[in-house]
Order: sequence, then structure tokens, then C-alpha cells
Amino acid sequence: MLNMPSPSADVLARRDTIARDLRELLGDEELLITSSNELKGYETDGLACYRTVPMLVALAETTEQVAAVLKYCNDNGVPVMARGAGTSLAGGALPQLDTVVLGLSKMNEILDVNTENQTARVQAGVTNKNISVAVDDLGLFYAPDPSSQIACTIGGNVAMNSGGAHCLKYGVTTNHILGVKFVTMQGEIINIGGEAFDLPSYDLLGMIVGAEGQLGVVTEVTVRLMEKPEDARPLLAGFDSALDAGACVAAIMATGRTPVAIEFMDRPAIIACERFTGAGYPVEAQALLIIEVEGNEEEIREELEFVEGMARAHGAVSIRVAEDFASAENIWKGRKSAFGAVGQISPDYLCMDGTIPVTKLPEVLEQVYAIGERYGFEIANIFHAGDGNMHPLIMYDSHQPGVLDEVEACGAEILKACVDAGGCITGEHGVGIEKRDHMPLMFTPAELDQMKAVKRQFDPQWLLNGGKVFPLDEVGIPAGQISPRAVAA
Amino acid sequence: MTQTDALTFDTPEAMAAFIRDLDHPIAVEGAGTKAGIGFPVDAPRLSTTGLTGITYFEPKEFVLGAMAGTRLSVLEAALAEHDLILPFDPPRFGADPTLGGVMATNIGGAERESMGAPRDNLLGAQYINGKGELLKAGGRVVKNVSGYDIPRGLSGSWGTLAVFTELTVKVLPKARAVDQHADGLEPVWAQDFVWRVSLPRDQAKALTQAWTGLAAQQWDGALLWLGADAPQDVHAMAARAGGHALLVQSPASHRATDGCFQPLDAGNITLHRLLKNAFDPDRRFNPERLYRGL
Repeated sequence: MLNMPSPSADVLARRDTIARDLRELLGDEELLITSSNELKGYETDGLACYRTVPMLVALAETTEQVAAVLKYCNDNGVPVMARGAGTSLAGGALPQLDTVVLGLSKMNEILDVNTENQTARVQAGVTNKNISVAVDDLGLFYAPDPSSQIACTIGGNVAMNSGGAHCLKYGVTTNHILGVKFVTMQGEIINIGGEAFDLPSYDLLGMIVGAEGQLGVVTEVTVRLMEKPEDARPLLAGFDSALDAGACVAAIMATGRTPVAIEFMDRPAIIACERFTGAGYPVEAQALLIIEVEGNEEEIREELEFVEGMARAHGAVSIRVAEDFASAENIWKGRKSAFGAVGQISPDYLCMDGTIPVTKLPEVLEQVYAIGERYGFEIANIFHAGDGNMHPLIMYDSHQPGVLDEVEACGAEILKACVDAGGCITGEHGVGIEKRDHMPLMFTPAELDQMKAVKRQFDPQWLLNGGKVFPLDEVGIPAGQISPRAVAA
Repeated sequence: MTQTDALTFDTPEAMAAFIRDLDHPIAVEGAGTKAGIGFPVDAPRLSTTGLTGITYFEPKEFVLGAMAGTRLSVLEAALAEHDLILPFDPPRFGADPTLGGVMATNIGGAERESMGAPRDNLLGAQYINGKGELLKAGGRVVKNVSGYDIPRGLSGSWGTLAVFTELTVKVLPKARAVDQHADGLEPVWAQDFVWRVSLPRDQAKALTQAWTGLAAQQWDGALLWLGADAPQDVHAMAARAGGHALLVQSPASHRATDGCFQPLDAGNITLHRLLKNAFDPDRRFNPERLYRGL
């Protein structure tokens, strides 16, 4: 169970004054949420085992409002955290008792689409999927596609440097961001980059993307759009053994003929997804791969032939190729609702996000199963296999007393196995609170200190989205105990 | 400038110890192939060229690690044995740059649009900060969001924030490489002044029409190379077009007074200063190479 910083008694005592001041700054009664009922809607994110009702929620409609709120919080020592859709699986949007949540969901306009430059300028609260929807007619799309893309916002994607299934071919968020409107903790509005490639000197975008909203708040994003492929087709391959499927992935990747996506599911995940969506997954298989190829008709035929050959050579027992758009959609629907599906068969689960070199997939998978067995948890594996980004879901029932500690210890061992294999503790979900205390698995105190030195420059009072990314003792914030769910009760 | 008078070290540890004890600024460089870019730095030179060699190479994972001073030609030869290439194809400026120099300057090559800039292919780095601490960040896998993205944050800093000592990069099968050379680039480089302008593609036509000197283009118009025999305010032209320009060739006398980098607004300069404070608080590395006061 994770500790969070103790809320500041001083800030809590000033709640009414802060509320009055913020209401005035926002200039609209409706934009400040103070009632405990409504505040409860902001108590958690995709890591629902942790909940804390924030002190206040300010809903911004303009960059100027964001700047005013941040400046106020900075001047008055009030903790603040930006929130998009609250889909973080790492507790990236978990508030604390003394936090002002700065909600950006009302900033959801697509401001400009430039077909010739293949760029779109959008507000931070626009959902990932809506960017692609808006440019679909132009034959373009926004490539990084987190599974939560229907709900998650581009601002959140920027904060966490989100990935997704098709990032195997196209790269992750940081490879697709050309510019941002960045608001500093001091309330300064700074335009970084624009529609041109790369920056003139320091890679400020590189530093900001993935900093988990700890350096400032992004209110507008200029993204790069890609040309839609002529067609794309997924293939489903069922295997008798999860290790065979893992070996198949490693073998395909070793050829250098990178498909657009290679997704892996093991038996518990297959059954959950099939029951949830009826996607037609092979329920008798121990593991399946969804391998998507794209291009024109001939390229697709060639690549499918190659992929099918590789799958059969690695013991695939069933192969199904999507014949049309609808069946392709259906195959992806199963995968993209996988976390929800597992939620249907298990009261709770904790999702890991370690990444490993692809050649190590079979070996680490074996370790993951062994670790789960040792702790007595069933683990469903659903992940982006092509780039070695694993998502073991540890299933548990939070009603069992003390179980969360066990689950987290089990997860920690899995992450350690990933790091030992040459990988990392999080591939696309971010550190948040969830992996905060595992950062020393990868970094020395001096290395963490260098990251914190950056944070300290941007936010010397450590007010912006604190209590995350770094172990608490490392940032000198005294830890107070916040129990999962207890605060909400 | 010759290579012989730059300080070199055989190990990152020895270099870090030297930096830790510094009581004066130093000019940080790789092979010095881009020494003609930026304000001249009047300080003893430290080069990474003593740190060489491939440290990690897993062809089946398409990952390569090498010491920062390793020349691209060495990497390319090793990769060619496995039919692999470096996905980023930085302009060579007529010489053989180091991997560290390529990442520190982050100048995208002819195929930047499809292959990414150098920084897009950077997975991990070992580096020395201004306090002389030898640190690592990132890793060996493509998907990695464990903590701030320090390797990318240091790319494009031209040795003013840290000294790269080792880098891990993505590599690609050769079959995927497409060669595209720009027409008219040679005459541009024959001019005394050469600018490299990255700009939104829809602005390229207007800018080239207004330009009286020589021009060549890449990236389907989103990158221009402009040549002239006298200084021009290309930075202002680039800014108006929504892009940015780097003066990549110029007489030393002009460079010393006017610099080479796109002037930034106050907000962006502030953010540069924050990063400088965070990585090199004592201002030891390449003082004022990019901007006065930084």
C-alpha cells in the first residue's frame, strides 16, 4: 500500500478562501466544483484501488484561466494537478486531500487542421480518437492509439508519453508532437515549437512530453498527422502454449519485417475478452496473437503470407484472417476492451506495464507465471508484444484484507524481472504513484536527483502533481497514510 | 582548430572526475565537425573522441549501444555486416561525426520525415552533468516512460547541458532505407553563408520565392537550405514562416557577433535557462555557444 504526502493542514484550513478566490479568477460560478458529491467524481483514475477526494476542482475553458489558477496556486502555496479524462492506469491523475484539480476536459476543440503540413492544432482536452475522427475524411490519422483512446485526452497523452498497439510501427506520443502551448507554474504562457519539424535548440518538447504533468500544464497541442494506409488487416493466430506465441513474436521481429501491431493475449485474457465482446477469439487456445499488416492489396497479401508462415512455423494451431472491415474492427474491439473484460471476471486487477527486449519474451513470460503462482494470484497477460511492452494483469479481490500489499509485492517482482531482462518498469502508462517506489530499480539516487533538479527548476515549491514519479523520501515530502478506498468511505 | 589540442579521456569515469574538479568553463565537442556553428567558445576544449567502441549490439533486437566518441562510419560498418543501418541520417558536414555529436545537435537527415530525427531513435544515454556526476537515463527498449525523458531533453543542447558518454539507439534493416538527395545542395554549400530552415511545408514556396540567393529543399519542402554570399536575416524570415533557421556555415567574424541559432522569445529562453540551471548550474559547458547569457 502506497503512502501519499500528508495534506497540508494550512491549505485545508484556507479552503473557503481559496474557493472564493478561484471562483473569482475563473469568472464563472459553474466552473468551480466544491460540493462533496461532485468532487467525488474526481477522486480516482484508472488505478481505482486508490481514491482521494480532492479539495476543489477548477474547470478551465481557456489557457488564460489555466494560467490564472496556476499562478494563484503558486503564489499561495496550494497543490494543484491537471486532469484530462482521468484514465491513467498508474494513478497519474490521483489527487490528494489538499489538491486543486485543474480539469481540462472542457478545452475540447480542434482549433486547426492543416492538410498540406499534415498537422492539427487541438486543445488539451480533445480525446485522442476525436483527432483521428476529425481528419478521417482527409485520409489522415493521429497514430499513437492508447487502448483508452475513446476517452483519454491528448493532454494526458502528452503528460504520460502514451503508447498504443500501433506504436510498434509509428512510434509513441513524443514522436508525434510538434508544438505545445505550455503554462508554467508561475502562470506564464509559452508557445513551444509549432508546425515545423524539431526545435531550434533545446528539445523542450522532449523534456515536457512524459514528465507526467509535473513541469507545467499543456493547454494546446500541435500533432503530426500520418497518411492512412490504403488498407489494414489483422490476423488472429491461436497457440497451444504461451511460450510458443512469445517465441513467434521474437522470430517475426528478428526478421525486421515489422508489422503495424503485434498483440498478445493468454488464455485467461482470451476467455475474458470472448465472453465480454464475442470477438470470435479461439477460446481453446493457450495464447493468441493479433498481428496487423497494412498497405495496398498486394502488400497485405504478401505480409499476411509471411506472418502466417511464421505463426505456423511456431506451432500456431488456428489462424483467422479478417476478411473485411467489420471483422477487423471486431478483432480489435476484443483487444481494446480487454482491460474492461478482465474487470468482468475479477473484482479487481492491477495492471503492470514493464517492457523487455523482445528476444526475452518467452523467458520473462515464464517468470511472470511463476511469480503469480508463488503469490497465488491468477495473471492475465494482454500486451503489445512487438515492442516487448508487457501488461500482466494481476487479478485479486480487494475485499480480502491486506491483499493489496500482496498484489503490489507480486507486481514489484514482475517489474524487477523486466528490469533484470534489460527492460524497464513502465513502457507507456507512466510512473504515477503506482511505480513511484520502484524507480530505484532503474535509477541511482543521483540519477533521480537529476530528474528532480529539473522539477525543482520548473516548480520550486513542488506544488504541481506532487507525490508522484519519485519515491517520497527522495523528494523530502513527509508521508502521511492514505488508505486505498478509506478516504472515499 | 586541430583535434590534437583537445583534452580526451579513455573512460567516462576519468572524464567525470576531471569535470568534477573544474574551476573554469570548457568547450565540449565530439569530432568537431560542427565547430563552425554557434558563438565561438573561448575555453579549453574537451572532446569525447577518446571514448570509443560499440558496447552493446543485439541485431535481432535492432538496438546498438556505443561510446559517444565512436564515429558514425565505425557504426555503419558494424551494422552493414548484419544488413542494418542507422535510421537517422544526419547531414555529415563533409566529415565523420561522432554518435554523441549527432545526438547532442539533433539535426535531422534527408529521411527525417519517415525515419525521425536523431532524438526519435535515441533510447538511452549515459552522460556527465555539470557537477561531474556520471549518470544514465533511458534504457535499451523502445517503449520506456520510466521517469523524465532525460536523453531527449539533452538532445539538441549542443553540449551546453551535459556531455554524452554513451548512447543506445534504434537501428533498422537496410531494406527499409530510401535514399533521397536534394537537388542543388552543392551550390548552396559553395556560398559563404548557409542556413538550414525547418518550416511548415505550406510556407516553403513563399519563402523560396522571396529568397534572392541559392536554395535547395528536402522533406518535400519542409526543409530548406539557403545559401548567400552576404548575411541575410533568415532568422526573421523563418520565424515569420512559423519555422526556425540555423546558420550552418558562416565566416568566423560574423558568427562571433551574430551567432547562428534561431533567436527565441523570452518564454522559451526562460525554459532554456531552467534546464541549464538543472544540469549545469555552474555554467561549465559551452558557455554562450547558443545564446548570449546562457
